[in-house]
Amino acid sequence: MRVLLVEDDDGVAGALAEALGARGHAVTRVTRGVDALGGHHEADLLLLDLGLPDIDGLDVLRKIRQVSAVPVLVLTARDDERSTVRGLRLGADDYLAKPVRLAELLARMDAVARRAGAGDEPQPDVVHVEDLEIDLAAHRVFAAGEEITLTAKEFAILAVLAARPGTAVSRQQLMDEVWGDAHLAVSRSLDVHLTWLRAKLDRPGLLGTVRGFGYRLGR
Amino acid sequence: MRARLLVVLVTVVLAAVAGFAFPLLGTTAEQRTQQLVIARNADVDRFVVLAQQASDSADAAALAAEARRYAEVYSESVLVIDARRRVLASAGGLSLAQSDVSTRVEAALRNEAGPAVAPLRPWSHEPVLFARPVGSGTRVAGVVLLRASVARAANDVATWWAAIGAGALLAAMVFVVLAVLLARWVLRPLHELEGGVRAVSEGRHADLPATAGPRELRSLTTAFNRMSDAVVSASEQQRRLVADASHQLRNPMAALRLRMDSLAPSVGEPGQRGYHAAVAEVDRLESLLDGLLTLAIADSTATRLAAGDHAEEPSALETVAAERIDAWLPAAERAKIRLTGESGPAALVRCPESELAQILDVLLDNAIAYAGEDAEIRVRWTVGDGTATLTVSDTGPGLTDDEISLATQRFWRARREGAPRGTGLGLTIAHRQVGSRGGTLELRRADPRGLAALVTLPLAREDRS
Repeated sequence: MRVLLVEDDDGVAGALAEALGARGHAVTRVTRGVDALGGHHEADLLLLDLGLPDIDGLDVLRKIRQVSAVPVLVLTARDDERSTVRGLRLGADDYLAKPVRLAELLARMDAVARRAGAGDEPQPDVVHVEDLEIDLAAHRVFAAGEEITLTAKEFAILAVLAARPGTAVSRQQLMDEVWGDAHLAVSRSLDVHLTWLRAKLDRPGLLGTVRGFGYRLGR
Repeated sequence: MRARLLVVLVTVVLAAVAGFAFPLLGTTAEQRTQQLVIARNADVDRFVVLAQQASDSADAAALAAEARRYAEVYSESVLVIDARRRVLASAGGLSLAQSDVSTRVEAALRNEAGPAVAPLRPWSHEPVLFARPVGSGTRVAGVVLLRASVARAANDVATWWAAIGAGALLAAMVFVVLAVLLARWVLRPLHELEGGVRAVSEGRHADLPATAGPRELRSLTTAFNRMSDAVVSASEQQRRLVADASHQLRNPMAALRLRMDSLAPSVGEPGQRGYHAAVAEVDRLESLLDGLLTLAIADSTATRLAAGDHAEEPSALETVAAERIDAWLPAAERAKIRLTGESGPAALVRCPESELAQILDVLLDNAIAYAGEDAEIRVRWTVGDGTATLTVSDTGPGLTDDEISLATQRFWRARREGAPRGTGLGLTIAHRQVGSRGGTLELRRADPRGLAALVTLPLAREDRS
């Protein structure tokens, strides 16, 4: 995979380039936002730092999103909720705060690339997340081979999340897709359904919260 | 101070007004009395002359006619008698049979002066008796008596007094208003200074207006503003140093972490132990860094909220609790601890979701780390008067009272055999965060054993729509 690494810190860039290179990725490193704007056409994936010397990383992200759907993984020292949410809203495919474990970074990169590649393929009918089997067509869920009974709303929420396993789905999107509407009462209702859904799945931590943004299925 | 200042000023004002008004009341009353006395004395004098003529001519008819006319016109009584106490003229009902009349007649016949007329009061109604001997020198030929009504004169005094009273009241009111204004002018800068002290103690700039009040207080205010700026910028710099330092350390930390992780496959058998110890140290460094940054953020949040910024969304306690319990269950299971949440009433607390989650994370993390195997951790909450109280209690070894008093201090860790080495920042952060939202975090010994952490947060008003 051709990775464009936009990072101004030499230490991080060196470590990343080496680690990714060792796993067979072709890494091109640039330090400035302008170079990222010019170089993203030849990359399969962008690793974007937000604290760049010339342009703010979020502006780089916004400008790239106007012209390209290339997968972008934001990797930054800013781990506050606002930056995370802004990054995801501006079109980042994932958001990781430094320092990050290599295994997690590689897994997230794979997930982002897989999703980008799978865009044109038809949705699979059955999604597997850990020992969970979600049959989107038949509206059935199995955990370790045993069927779990879900209400229609609970299944709808799970289905929206299962359609993008490992990806953060915003609350807004969840509400829009499940209720077709997003007002206050629905927001509270979503909380209640999620609580029930977690209890029924009985897989602690599998259905994670992305603070201030939404939810993610899969660890 | 304001009350005392006002009491003094108002007392002085009232005393001054009273000191001016009371003599004035006395003077007006005396003046009017004097007028009455002069006017009636003139009348009495006329009758004395007439009585003299009558006694000279031994004909009292003219005198009697004059007395009748006088009584008709002025509705006042006249009595004239001669030295042998025979009535020469009587009109209006005065008679010697009346005791006061006879007393005065006897006195006048002895050529004694009558008592002075007491100054009139608005409520005076007793008629005044004027008596004058007729004749000259030591030979008294008779007595003229005149009973004068004081009604008109008393009315005049009442009018005067009312006018003086109204004037005094008006003056008093004007002066009291002036006193209040003066007190306010002097005290306002002091009140503002008080607000300024509060602002500085909460880490804000005082920014007091130095335009009103006495000159001395104005310069004090200016000096205070300078001091507040210095204090606030010092604490701001300290906070920023911590925030910047932990932020700047992130890049080297990230590089170190990636290098360590990349190294993993190439570490040989002999180096494995050392490598894992090094990774553990990197973990520790990372969490310390995170803790310091979070603490710096919590501190600046406290400052921002104290400055009156309450724009953030409240969060539903029951949702966040359920979600955090779900997230910590795997860790609890690994530590062989039973983690249970009791569902309580719905509670919307004035604390953003992310912070409430962080607070819960600290409490659950500590409980799982220190409670020990087979312990039980319970999360429950109650809603009270304007606040919600969340309790995380465990059945572990707990802390001693001394340790509890130290637990929220920076870098304090419980010294326990085999307990993990934390950063010593978790409870400090939680304490700071809860405090900045106007709540309290309290640690106490649980019954019968273990530790209970109580987080009390103010409820948000239900107007989220």
